[in-house]
Amino acid sequence: MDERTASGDARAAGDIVVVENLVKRYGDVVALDHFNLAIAPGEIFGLLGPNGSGKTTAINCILQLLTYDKGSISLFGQPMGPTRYDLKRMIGVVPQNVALFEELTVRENIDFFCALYVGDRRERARLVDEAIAFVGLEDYASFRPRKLSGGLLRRLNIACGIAHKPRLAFFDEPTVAVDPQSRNAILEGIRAMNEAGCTVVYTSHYMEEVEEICSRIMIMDRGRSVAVGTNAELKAMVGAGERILVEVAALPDGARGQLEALPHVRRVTYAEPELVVQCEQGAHNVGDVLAVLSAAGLPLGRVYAEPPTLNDVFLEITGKELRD
Amino acid sequence: MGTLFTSTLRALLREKGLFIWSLAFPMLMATIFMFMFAGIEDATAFDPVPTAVVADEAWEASPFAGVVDDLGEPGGDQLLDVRSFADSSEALHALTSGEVMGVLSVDGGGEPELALSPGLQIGASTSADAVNRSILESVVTAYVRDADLLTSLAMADPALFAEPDRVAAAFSGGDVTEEVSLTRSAPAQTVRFYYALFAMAALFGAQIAVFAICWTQPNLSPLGARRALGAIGRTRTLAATLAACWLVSFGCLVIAFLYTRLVVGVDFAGREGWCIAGLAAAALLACALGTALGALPKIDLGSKTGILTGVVCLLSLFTGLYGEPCMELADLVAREFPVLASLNPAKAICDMFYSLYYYDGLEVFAANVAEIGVFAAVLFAVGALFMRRQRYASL
Repeated sequence: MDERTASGDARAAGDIVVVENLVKRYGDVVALDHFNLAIAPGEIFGLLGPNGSGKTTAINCILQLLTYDKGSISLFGQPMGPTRYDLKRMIGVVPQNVALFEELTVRENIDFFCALYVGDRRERARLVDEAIAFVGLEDYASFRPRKLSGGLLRRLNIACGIAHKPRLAFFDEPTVAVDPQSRNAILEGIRAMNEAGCTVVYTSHYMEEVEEICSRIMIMDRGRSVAVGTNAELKAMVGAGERILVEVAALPDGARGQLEALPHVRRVTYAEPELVVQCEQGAHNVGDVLAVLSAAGLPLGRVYAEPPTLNDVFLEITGKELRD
Repeated sequence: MGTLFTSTLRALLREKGLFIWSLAFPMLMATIFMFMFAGIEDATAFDPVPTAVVADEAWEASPFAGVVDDLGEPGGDQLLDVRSFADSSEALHALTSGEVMGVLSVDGGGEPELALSPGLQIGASTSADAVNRSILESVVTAYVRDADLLTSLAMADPALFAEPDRVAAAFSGGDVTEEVSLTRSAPAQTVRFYYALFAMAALFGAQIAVFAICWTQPNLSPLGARRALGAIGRTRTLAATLAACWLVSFGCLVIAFLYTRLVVGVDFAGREGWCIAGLAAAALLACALGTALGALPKIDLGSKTGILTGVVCLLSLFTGLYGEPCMELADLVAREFPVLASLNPAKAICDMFYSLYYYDGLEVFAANVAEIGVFAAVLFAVGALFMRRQRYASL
């Protein structure tokens, strides 16, 4: 565990995004409760949390679309404000809602949004071509948005946000309602951007995506950061081990008691025919469970084990499922 | 900024729904007016009265024949369409068959006589019939009156006839009356409808700005929120957007104007260039109205369109667009409540066209344009009040 993760969301010199004690209220509802965030250059930083946890609000405050009641925000080492166009020029945003001109073609849309950052027409033409190629919309460049499928529309939404090659990009739930093929293409694209030097802030309530691409993850709940670290660090933080699933026709009470008495077993649930044993980290969890079931003379069907997920971490910390 | 302008312009031009009220509506209404008013103009047009003369010896010997011949000379002053018949029976046959409206003849004493068609008798059914009867009667009575005057002059002062100019002056009304026009163009009842129509069409053009403003404001659309994240200032974004709106609005008005002028044939007093300059001002006013309305928070686009339609229809009521009673109402308001009337931007646009049509100078036109400019400035200021916010409490 490095110094940053040991200190959770502590600020370090050279951080590209620093948010300190941000408080945002909607009337009586506290959307962000002394929220802190520090992101180093080159990271793919994931903001993970259920709907309503404050992810989008945090981004909108950082981008100065929303007012906030308290706190400070710095980007690239400088205070962020609504008229800091010098800083905005280095930022790309892919909003959660697809926001495009219905009347303009794919190319015209990308050109329009690129023009919000790049004045030179010739340079912009090159950037637009690259953005179209980057999201794989070459065959649809002259199409209007209404002719595109949901996945292609999301890709266009991304192209509009990153065509100007930002140093810092915010992706707010970019894969919502996207088919697996487009989703994979989007995640690949984000990785490629990051490899090219772009720091990425990625919000999602899909833990698999966050686990897949993020170098560091913040888990949010009720406007607060509840945990920050790498995927492995977060799982280690709560000591979550694998989840063992066994198909078994019946589970006598004696066998269940023996399972629950095993040293690393946290929870045993059975819904015929599936037995689920949630474990802490341990060296022989699967072998121990199978030994108990064999000793009880139970015929076993399929047996498999799942590594711990961020949902398990979230469950451990907040006492509820991530997708509640 | 150039790309913002061209992209917004392109997007607006592809939003076909915007052109229903801004372009199709005035052209359609102008066409409808053209057919409606054609009937009115036909009703007031004058054709020479078909008149039979009994060209017998008495007629040929009478000075009255010369007078009638003069009145039947083709040209702009032609009053009578004279048809000669050898005897009275043929002439009366033409009268009863409806070929002619009256029969002129001279009796044995040299006195003119008039026989009218039954349709032209007192209580004639149409105003055109009444006019024709009046013309024929005037021809005869004027001749009789002048002949009596001549006879009287001859008896009273025969020496007068040694001075033909004085005699001619005595019979000429032209020397003592002169036809003058108090206005640049002859008053025409129908042009008012077209001018009111242009006022309405111009204000409907505000819908273009309503749309475009929604595209720029973070609190009005996701697109606006996304645009606000760019590295271009709000003022420049709005300037480019409103310039595109103005151009589209102005273009629609100019097309409608050219159609109204060239196809419908409406008279703009030969001041088409100034009219187009006035349309530029009207388009600016439309943009300002659209900005003020479009910037209203917490009202969706459909509701704003509805509000705009209602406001424009109400304002147009006081320009007299909806017919004669509305014109009287508009005139009443203008006369009795001039301050209230001056608060109507539709009337300001309408009056601008009027000033070009009726006034010789351009001072009134300039005042109307200035009034439109004030309206635009106030409405832009209202819009700016709502749009000045850089960040929002919620989106």
